[in-house]
Amino acid sequence: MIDTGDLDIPAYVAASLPAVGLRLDAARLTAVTAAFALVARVGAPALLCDVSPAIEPAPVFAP
Amino acid sequence: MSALELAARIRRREIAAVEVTAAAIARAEAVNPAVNAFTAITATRARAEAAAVDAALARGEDPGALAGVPFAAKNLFDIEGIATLAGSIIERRRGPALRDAFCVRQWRAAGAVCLGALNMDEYAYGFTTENSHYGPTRNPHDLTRTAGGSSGGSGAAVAAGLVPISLGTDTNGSIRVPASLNGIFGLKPTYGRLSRAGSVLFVPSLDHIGPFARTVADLAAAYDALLGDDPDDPVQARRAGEPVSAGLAAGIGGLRVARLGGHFRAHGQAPAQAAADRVAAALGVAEEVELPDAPAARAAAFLITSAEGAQQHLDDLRAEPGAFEPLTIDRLLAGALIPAQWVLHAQRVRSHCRAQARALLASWDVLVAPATPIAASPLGQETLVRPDTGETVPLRASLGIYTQPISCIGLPVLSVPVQQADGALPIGVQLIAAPWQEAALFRAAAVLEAAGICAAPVAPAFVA
Repeated sequence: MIDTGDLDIPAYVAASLPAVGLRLDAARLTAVTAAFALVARVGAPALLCDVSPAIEPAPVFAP
Repeated sequence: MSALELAARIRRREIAAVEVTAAAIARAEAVNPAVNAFTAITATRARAEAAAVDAALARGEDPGALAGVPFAAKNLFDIEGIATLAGSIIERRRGPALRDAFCVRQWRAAGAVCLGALNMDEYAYGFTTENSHYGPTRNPHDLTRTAGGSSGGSGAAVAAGLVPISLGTDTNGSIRVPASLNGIFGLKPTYGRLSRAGSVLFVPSLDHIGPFARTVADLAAAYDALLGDDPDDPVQARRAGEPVSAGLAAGIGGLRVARLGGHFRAHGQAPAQAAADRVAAALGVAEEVELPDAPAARAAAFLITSAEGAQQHLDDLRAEPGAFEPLTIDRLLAGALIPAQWVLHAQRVRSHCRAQARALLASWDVLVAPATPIAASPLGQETLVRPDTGETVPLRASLGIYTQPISCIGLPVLSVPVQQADGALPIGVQLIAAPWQEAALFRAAAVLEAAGICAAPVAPAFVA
């Protein structure tokens, strides 16, 4: 289970952009922060689902 | 005329494939400005393919089950000679495809004639086909409303009678949502059933391809023709094809059918629930069951989609974000920032929900649920009010509320249309089965069609 309740979304978005090589202007940063907040909100029922780490996280690579 | 009736007349040489094709081209050119379903009409190619069908018949050869039947494909499928747009302007620059996608080749091998490429949400990321680059596709039942998405052009082209069958893709509902809003039949097969080779992938973990049609028999023939082993798709299951047409008349004797409740009772407006109840009653349903973690499955699909969808386009997002669809650029950029732990957790949730579905489907052969929470909404509408909670939610994300939990775990689904479900507008209902059990879905859909519960005539304003 992953609880994102304490996540500071604006700080996270601003800090993680350079990790994937993205640079955004202020207006775009605001919009993307809002979009990320939506991802966190809509994704919450999955993140809060208590699943065992023994479950295979598909997809499985087939050589 | 249905695809199979048309093919039968062509095979009997009562009508020439070139005549059918010429009429289809003329109608598409005349009608498309109203609905904006096509982004390219491949008239020259279609005429040549039709002539080849007639020539084969003249030689005494069998051109195939779809002899001379016009079709069109969502513009993320490669069609030799034209650019594979995937709804974007970035892809347009990559030049024409050198070879047809596998599914296009399969329909061509069955004698069908490719009439062109169909509009879609950019990179399949949307449920309304409000494409800023190529214009919105309009719903043939009401031109002020959305045709659904992302395979909106595929749905509208069939509903407007421009082609009897079309090809689409479904990651989170992109076949079932336009099938619902355009009032036609649509199939999302089991994940891994059909080859996706030659298409622009959106979310490789979740992408499916499938057909649309206006009759169950056409859908079955179209699906059967798509079956085939393709080593170019590493995700395709190495499994026998299991065609469905021969079993259409089997009825539903022996099939255990239930209505999905819980998550599938919440969210939706009354017409969507009533349509599902009507279909369930026609199938003799006496029990309502639940997929307990459907909300988690839907959320897992949302996270996987956001992350994989962004990863597919990260280079272009860095280089020229201004070239992307304004409706999706912020979602793509946000998806690029999702922590790996969220995605891996979502994949575990997916497996967990698959186990739940397997347990449920050990007791039931077909499950019935609404396909969309609403009928087609006006173009440009941004939000939706949940009738059960009064909460205002984003419309586009909400259109997949009933489809996402099912595609997340890869189950086969056939969306059947209920006409005049919300005033003049149709709404679709999902028939859901265990993996690889598409045949059960077709049997149930055939019963519903024969009983007059489900039908997909050409939208009234477009009857020729």
